[in-house]
Amino acid sequence: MIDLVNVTKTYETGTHALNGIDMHIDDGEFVFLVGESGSGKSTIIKLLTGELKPTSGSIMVNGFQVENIRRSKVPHMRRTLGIIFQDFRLIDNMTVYENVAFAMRVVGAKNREIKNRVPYVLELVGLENKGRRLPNELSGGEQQRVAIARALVNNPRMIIADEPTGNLDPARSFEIMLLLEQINALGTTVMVVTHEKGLVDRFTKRVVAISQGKVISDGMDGYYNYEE
Amino acid sequence: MKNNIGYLLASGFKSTFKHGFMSFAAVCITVACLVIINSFLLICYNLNNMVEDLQKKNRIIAVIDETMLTHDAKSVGSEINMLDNVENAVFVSREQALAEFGSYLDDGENAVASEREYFSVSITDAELISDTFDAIRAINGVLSVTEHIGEEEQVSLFVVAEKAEPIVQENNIAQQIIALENVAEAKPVSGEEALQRFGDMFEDGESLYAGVDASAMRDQYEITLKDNSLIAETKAQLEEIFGIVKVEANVEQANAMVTVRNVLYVASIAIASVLLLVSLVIISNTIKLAMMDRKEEIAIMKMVGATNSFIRLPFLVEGFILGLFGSLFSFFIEWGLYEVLRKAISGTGITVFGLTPFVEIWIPMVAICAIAGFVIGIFGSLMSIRRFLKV
Repeated sequence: MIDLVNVTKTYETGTHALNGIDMHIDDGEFVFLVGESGSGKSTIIKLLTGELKPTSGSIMVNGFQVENIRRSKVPHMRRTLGIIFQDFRLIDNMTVYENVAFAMRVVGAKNREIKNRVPYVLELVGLENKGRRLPNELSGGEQQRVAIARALVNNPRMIIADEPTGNLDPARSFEIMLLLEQINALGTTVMVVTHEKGLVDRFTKRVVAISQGKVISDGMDGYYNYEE
Repeated sequence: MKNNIGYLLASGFKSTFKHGFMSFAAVCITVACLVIINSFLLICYNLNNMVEDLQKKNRIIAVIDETMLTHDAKSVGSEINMLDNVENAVFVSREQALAEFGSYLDDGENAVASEREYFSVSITDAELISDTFDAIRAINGVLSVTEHIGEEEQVSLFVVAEKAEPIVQENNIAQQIIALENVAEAKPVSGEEALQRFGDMFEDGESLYAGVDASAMRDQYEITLKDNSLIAETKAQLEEIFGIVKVEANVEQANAMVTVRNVLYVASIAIASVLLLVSLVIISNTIKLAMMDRKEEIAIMKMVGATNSFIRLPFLVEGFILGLFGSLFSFFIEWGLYEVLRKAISGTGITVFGLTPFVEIWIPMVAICAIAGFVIGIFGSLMSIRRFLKV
């Protein structure tokens, strides 16, 4: 569950990135967050992951009050989130299996749990035969699947995908979106940040549009009604 | 965390070898810094030893009033012993002083058994010495003849004349000695000169015995001090004791040595800590460089929810391994360098600069290397990782 109330963020350079955002995402929802470059999408993600603190307003992420969270609590808050990036962010010198297992080690999982869970998740994303490959031996779509597997492996309450299809061709992009939809169907909240109008239009989901640091539309009809 | 200790240790160990070149650079710099620090410490240690040795040789001589009886003179000793800074006062009687005088000349007590004047006889042919010996002995007025082998195996005879003999007769003795076939020169040695020779055996001997009457050696005390830095005060106290006419002490020399030691002590601590700090900065920069290409890795770890300690531990292990290798190599390199230097110095024959053999000091050296390597490795990696954890 995510709850942003009147959140503003002004950078030290004086840039007003967010000007009073109100947004609520319930558990189990699938939400597209759309907006042009510089609209404040990335700032919202950084606020949700605790990389940045808001200038004012309150942010609740899966029960953690982010604006005044203790430094030592940030890792625990992040473990409730699975984050997927446009550039995949896999560790190059680890195999696919290790990249996924690594996320479990971080949270202190036992070896037995890792051995059971990682193959299951790899199968879920369709990479059951690629566990021993290194990331650079895979295609872009496969690498993003690894990243999704990593995000999923700790059973997070919510997945935040930041332009997950930005580096992929339309066919692979669609597959990734289908995968995320599947994951959502299993009960995990999914928030996809994107500016690909066509892709958003193919899914009938809630769309939150942002421009100049403000929510300009929030439609439950699943229609990308923000006009560029 | 506790489920991961094995994994974290292993990954730290692996990454040390995975980033081979940077590890190599870090180890090289650690070795260089440690070798410099250790060399400096060893120099200080040895200089300190030398100064200590020299200090032990520095003593006070207190000369007793001529007119006092031996019995009274001994009581002076107990007074000296009561002084705060006096460790030990050894009584040297007139007889002993003379005996020592004799032993210093290498020719027994006979020749100079009293304050009698004597002749020193040089010989041209050493093989004929026994003949010459007998011949001199046969001369009227000669009390005793002693063989004396001086420096460079040069043989000479000491001839002691009867005290009662007037100077004229002594000249006769000299003439008769010279008249002998094997005698090249016969030179009378006065009491003053004999004393002068005794004095020359010591450093500063001339001033040491300047106040002494040449006719006899006086009773004297040889005093060893507990603390050489208080030598001036102790000297003044000794001079106030009734019965002591003169106290000879190398106050300036003793003070200079204490100063040298103090300066060495402070300088060695200061320079060693500066060097350690410099090493720490250099090494942390090297590790920081090594970490630059793992910045992304650390950022990913943080995004997945890794705690700082989880990220830190492999780097700590890596720092520890690097420090360990650094200290190991530096220890053996230091050992080699030190022994080479020691042999080179002992080859020159200058005993004052003798270095302590490495085998006698290897334990503290191991400890220093281990601790320094540990500190440099651990703190170096901690210092450099801090920046990357702020994600």
